[in-house]
Amino acid sequence: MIARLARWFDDRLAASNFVRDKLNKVFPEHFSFMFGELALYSFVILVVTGIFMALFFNTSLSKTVYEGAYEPLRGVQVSQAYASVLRLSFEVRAGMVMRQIHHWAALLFMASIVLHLCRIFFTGAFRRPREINWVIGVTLLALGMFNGFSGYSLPDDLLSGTGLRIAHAIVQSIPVIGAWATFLIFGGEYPATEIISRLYTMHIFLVPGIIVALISIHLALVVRQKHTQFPGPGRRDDNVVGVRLWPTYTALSIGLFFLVSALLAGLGGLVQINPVWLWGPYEPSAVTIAAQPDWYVGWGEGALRLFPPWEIRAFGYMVPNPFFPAALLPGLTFVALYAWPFLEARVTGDYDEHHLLDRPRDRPVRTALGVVVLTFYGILLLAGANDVIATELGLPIIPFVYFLRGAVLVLPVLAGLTTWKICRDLAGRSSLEAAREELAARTEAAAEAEEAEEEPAREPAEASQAESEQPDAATAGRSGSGSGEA
Amino acid sequence: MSDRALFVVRVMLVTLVGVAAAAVSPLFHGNPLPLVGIVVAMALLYLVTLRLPHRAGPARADSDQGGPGRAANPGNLAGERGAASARIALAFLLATAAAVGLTVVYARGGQPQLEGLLLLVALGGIGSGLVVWARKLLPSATVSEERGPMGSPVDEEQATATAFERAEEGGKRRGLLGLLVLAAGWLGIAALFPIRSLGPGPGRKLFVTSWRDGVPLVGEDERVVTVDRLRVGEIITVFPEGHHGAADAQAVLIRLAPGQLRPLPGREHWSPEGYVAYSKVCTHAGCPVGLYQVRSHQLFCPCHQSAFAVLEGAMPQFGPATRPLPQLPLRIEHGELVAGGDFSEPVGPGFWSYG
Amino acid sequence: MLRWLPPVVAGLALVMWLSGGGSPAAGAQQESRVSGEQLYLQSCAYCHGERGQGTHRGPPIADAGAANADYQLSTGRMPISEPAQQPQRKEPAFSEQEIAALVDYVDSLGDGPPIPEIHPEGADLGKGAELYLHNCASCHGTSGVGSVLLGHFEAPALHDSTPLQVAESIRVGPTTMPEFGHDVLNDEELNAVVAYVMYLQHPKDAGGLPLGRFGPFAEGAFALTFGVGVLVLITRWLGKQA
Repeated sequence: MIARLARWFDDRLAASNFVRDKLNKVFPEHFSFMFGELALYSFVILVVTGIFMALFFNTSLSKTVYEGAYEPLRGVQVSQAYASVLRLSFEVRAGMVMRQIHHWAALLFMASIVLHLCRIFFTGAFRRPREINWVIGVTLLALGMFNGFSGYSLPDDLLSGTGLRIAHAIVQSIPVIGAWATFLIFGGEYPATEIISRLYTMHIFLVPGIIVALISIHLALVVRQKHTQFPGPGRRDDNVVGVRLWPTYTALSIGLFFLVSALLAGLGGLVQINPVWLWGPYEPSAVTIAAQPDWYVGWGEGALRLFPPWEIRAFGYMVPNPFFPAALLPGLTFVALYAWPFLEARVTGDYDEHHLLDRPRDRPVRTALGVVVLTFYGILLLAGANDVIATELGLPIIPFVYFLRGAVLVLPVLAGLTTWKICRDLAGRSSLEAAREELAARTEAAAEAEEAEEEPAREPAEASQAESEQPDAATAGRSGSGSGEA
Repeated sequence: MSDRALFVVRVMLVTLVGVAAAAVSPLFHGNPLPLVGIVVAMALLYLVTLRLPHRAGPARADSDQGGPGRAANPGNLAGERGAASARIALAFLLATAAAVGLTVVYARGGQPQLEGLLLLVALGGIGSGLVVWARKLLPSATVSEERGPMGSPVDEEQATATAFERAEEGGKRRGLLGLLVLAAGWLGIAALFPIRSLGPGPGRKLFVTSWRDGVPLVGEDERVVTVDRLRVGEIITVFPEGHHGAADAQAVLIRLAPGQLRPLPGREHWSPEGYVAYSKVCTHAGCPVGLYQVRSHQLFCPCHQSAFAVLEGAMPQFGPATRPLPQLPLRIEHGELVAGGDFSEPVGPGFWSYG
Repeated sequence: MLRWLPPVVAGLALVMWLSGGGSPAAGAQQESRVSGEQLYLQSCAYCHGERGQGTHRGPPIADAGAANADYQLSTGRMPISEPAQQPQRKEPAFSEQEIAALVDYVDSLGDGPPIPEIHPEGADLGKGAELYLHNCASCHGTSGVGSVLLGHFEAPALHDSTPLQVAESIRVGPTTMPEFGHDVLNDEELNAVVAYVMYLQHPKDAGGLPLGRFGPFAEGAFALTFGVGVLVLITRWLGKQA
């Protein structure tokens, strides 16, 4: 039956060759290579739950008197959008769990992207020939942030309205075009009435479409360029060692999808997220303490809170305060991210192709820089919740802000220097051990070659590929860093 | 996987079970049976997924664990595979049971916590079964695949370039190409114009609000504010009459003890009977400055912690705000508070042409 | 083996019952005036002055009124041994009868707001929600978690307040909180706000574990620690480490 179906398709597509080639593809199995898949599968869950939610959401900001199932807000004037989210949460069966899975998936989607980005950065996987995929990945990060923020803004609860108010001020702060941009984006003077329906179109249609397209290219490039691998016995710049796509890696990867979904479903059902019924409907004159964005834009909020009261006024014009922390800083962040592979190649003069990954300790400057950046944004992230932290720790707010202002400048440098020192020490030690490790690897590889010969060959006629470890593993790895970590 | 990592997995799963139990326990009003069932299901799932030798296969080159390999001991292998099959079967059966439970829960009206838990077990069962299957039963040989450098050989590049050069003949009309670019470019520019349809231009709107001379103040309840409305130390949010809820016109009205206020020059008569009104829109990022600390006479923005001195023209004291909250001139007419005009400055966050 | 235990327990219980029953409430009522003044002189006058006129150690409270006195005493904020900028909530130092006596006495010292009469049962919860969001959430938060304020002050969390304490604090504005008099919040509105605050103490956590209802910060922290932790462990379970 399956064979006949396969023949039917092959008679029309002549795809046997192509399919076999893909089934035989080899994927390295290091756990850190699966971080990208975590993001991919979170995205799949986002799409599935998002489609469900889209069937119930109402984008209108016109007012209605709430008369739904959530008693404490009955009789309150709310927007249609907010009422529809309450309806989804309390009246649509499985609506609450879908909404919460969606939100948790968004938080973990962004977290997976950042994890993946860190893995790529610290192991130098962005070097030639993978600059294109780095650029696509950074774009996906930006799109994810935008879509996360637009999703956060849709329910028109007090937090999302406050977030939009601040986003409005940030756009307005852009020199020359700021005021015009806000009037066009919001459809008039704040709060206007257009923003939710416009964000909705972006959130469910435009941005996810672009994300799907970019993920497709991202994956196609991985297939085309083949995966990178850590140095180790039998692993060279001109091969890739791992398991085949079919059947083992396929089963693993689908298993991973289900496990990620299981975690998200568990969180979505058991851990409350964004209880908009407690935050209440948005009113331009109402506000709450502990007004935080979701974590992936929290660093921008932190920068807004820590930036000192400076702004530029000259020649009858103004560059307002929010521009620097909330427009310039993110802009520079992304410019630096985009430029990094090209910048590093220029500084190191290393324009060669690389398929073997760096160990972070062997690139102390890059690793230290990465730690500087992570520390900087980590402190900003904490600063974005400085009121909650100060409340819970019983700290006075003003000294705490001064402390954070200092910390965000000093701690990254200290963390970077420490990292650099640790890397140098580790790398020094490993170069001492290099000879011993290489000897061990050589012995091990020889033993495996013998073992492999005993094994009956499962795929005898693969000319370009050989089962198990290569006998010439002795030449594997670059001296100094090539060692299988146990 | 190392023993330590296994241990951590186990701890995390147990934590998850604990979280689950804690989350659902209040829902059963003291009946422990569903909870016990859930915990048993979770524990089963936990048994299924744990204690897995990481892989069984001939290539143990980079395995960090010892133990007998498949080639070394075929008898042991068969037993291992049987055990793995049983475990996978158990996982899938658990998933089935949970999925059946899910349909029942849904049909009976749904319950978010139960739905999440059952989904967790169903998806987790399928996922862990698949992973065990992949790791224990499917071919796990470590394979090496060759790869060449990414660039094409020079002759291929040249052949491709030649293919492009076919256009040289008849295609190289510089004038025509220029006109094509001109037409397409203008079309592109024309295509940008509909952006203008997105909304009205700002005009003077950022400089003015709906406060006018003589407009009465109304509170959240839309009642006009009379002189005896507030006692010293009280605060309310006010709007211009007829514009209740207007985002840019919202103001805080505070009553101070006579003589407490130190009015800015030129504003000596803006605060009759101790009433003083400031824009409620923070000059930093536009949040409502709704937090009034009576003792220190400070308005505090809960979003980014800007502090404003109420007694001194709402000058910024701390935080990122650079400009004072604009003040609303007030007077009293027939026992009611009315505005003496618009705010002293444009309200809210700054912008390029603010000046 | 422990044959001696039951009689001893019984004996102890008897002693406790006898001693517990030794102070009839009626007696306290009669003595209220006297013991109120006495308690005041013992526990309050050192800082607030003999007639509530205040000293350099504490502010005048002659015109604080019954509402303020009851709020401060029943939340345990007063008395304090050392002057503090903002006293913290703790176990009340006095019994209910003693507090009543003290409140009566403080009330008699001057002219202040009486203890409000509230009937939050059956109040309009929706009205309360609206008023709470507009007037209270900016300091206490939409879910009543409280926050630090400028200068070592704080807006306390509302989780432990009784309905009467909520009403009293609204009417008198303790510490740095503004007061909300009858012309700002009438009695019906006061009842509605009190009812909503009481609801916030045990709100509908339909989504599961509430994570303290701190909002996105707690959610993000949970996602980045627990969520990411589980995700990484899953990949480590699936993948290899070399």
